[in-house]
Amino acid sequence: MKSSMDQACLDLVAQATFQKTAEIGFAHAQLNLPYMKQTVLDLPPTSPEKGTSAISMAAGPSLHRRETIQKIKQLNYRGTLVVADGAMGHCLRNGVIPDYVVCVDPHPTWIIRWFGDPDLAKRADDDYFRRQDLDPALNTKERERNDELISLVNEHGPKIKVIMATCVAPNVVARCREAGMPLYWWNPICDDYDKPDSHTRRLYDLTGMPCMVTGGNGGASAWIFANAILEKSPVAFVGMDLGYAPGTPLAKTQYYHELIKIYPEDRLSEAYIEVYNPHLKETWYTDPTYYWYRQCFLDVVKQSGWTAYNCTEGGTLVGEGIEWMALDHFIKEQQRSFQLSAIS
Amino acid sequence: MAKLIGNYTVPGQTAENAKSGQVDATEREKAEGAHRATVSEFERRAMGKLGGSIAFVMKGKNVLWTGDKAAGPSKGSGDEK
Repeated sequence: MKSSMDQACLDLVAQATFQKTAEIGFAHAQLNLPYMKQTVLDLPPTSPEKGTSAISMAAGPSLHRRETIQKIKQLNYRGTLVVADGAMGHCLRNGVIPDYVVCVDPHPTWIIRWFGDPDLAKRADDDYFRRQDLDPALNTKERERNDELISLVNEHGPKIKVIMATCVAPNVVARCREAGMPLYWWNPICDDYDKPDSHTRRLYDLTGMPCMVTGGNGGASAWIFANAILEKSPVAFVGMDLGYAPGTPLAKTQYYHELIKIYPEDRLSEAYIEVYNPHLKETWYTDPTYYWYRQCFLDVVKQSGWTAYNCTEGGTLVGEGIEWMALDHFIKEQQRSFQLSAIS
Repeated sequence: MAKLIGNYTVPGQTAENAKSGQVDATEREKAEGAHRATVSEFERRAMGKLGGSIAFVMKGKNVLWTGDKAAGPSKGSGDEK
C-alpha cells in the first residue's frame, strides 16, 4: 500500500465525482422542483433543552465497533443529533430517533435503501450493501431488514427533519414524503459559483435554494450543516472513519469492484493508502475515494476555522483543527456545561 | 505511487542493449521518464473511475452561498457566510 496520494490523483477523483454527479443531480433537481417548499434557512430553531452542542453521525465501521449508539443512549445525550442517511437505520433499530437526516448523494438506486426501499424486489441484484460494513445489518436477510426499515421510517419519519439536497433521486424524495418526513432543501456547492457557467449557479437559478458546501459525502455534510445552519458549538462527529480497520479484507471495501477492474488482483493492494492513527497507535487503510473525502474534510475544517471533535474512536481522520476525544468524555462535558448554564 | 513492472522493453531501450544491460545514463533517464508517464496514465485512468458521493468546492471561509441578491430574513448575513 502507499503512504499518501498526490494532489494530481486527488484532483482526478474530484473531477470524476463532478462528472458522475453533476448532470444527473441537475436532472433530479428539475424533477424535485414541485416539492421544494422549505429551505434549510426556514428551519425552526432547536429547543433550548437541546443545549448548544451537536453530534453528527456517519455510517463508518466504528459506529458498530465502538458501540456508539449504545453510549449515546446510556449517557442520555440530550443535544442535537444530525445523521447522514446511511446511519439513520442503525439509529432507529436501536431506539434512537435523530433530529435531522442529511441526504446528498444523487445515486438513483442506492440511497433509497437507507429509508427502506419499497421496490427492492424489483431491482437488479446488487451486493453494494452486503460486501461492506457501512451497515452490517444489511449484510444478511436484506429483504427482511428492508421491510423492518420501511416500518421504522414510516413510524418515526414525521419526527425527523430531512436536510435534502436538490440533486437527490426523486424516488428518495417520494419515499420521504410517503413517510411524512418534513423536507428542508439546499443545493450542494459543486464548483465556483462566481463563474458564469457554474453548475452550482445553474442549480441555484433553477431552484432558488440556498447553497452549502458538502465536504464530498453525507457525513461531512451533516457536520457542516450542524455548524453552518444550526450554528451549534461544539459539534462532534462519530462513525466517520473514512477508512478501514486493520485486517479488513480488500473485498469488503466500498470501491473494491471498481478497483479490481483496473488493478490486477495480486497488485490490488497498491491502490490503497495506509494511514497511521497516532491516537490509536494503529495503521488503518483507505481507498482513493475515502482518502479524497478525508482531504476534503481536512480542508473544510482548516478553512472554516471550526473545531471538529472526532469522537469516532477509529479511522483515519486526524489532522489540523481536529480534536480527538472519547465520545463519553464529549457527552459528559456537554451535560456538565449544560447543567451549569441552567443553574446560572 | 504504484509502479508498473512488466516483462517488456521500455522506450529508449533496444532489444540488444536490453539483453546486454548496456543502457547508458541518458537512455536510462529517458526510459525512467517513459515509465513514470506510463504510471501516471495508469493512475489517471484508475482515479477517473472512482468518483465520490458529491462534488466538493469551498471558497475561502464561505460555507453558504445564497446567490448574488441579498439574503432573505432568515439565517445568514449578506449573501455569504
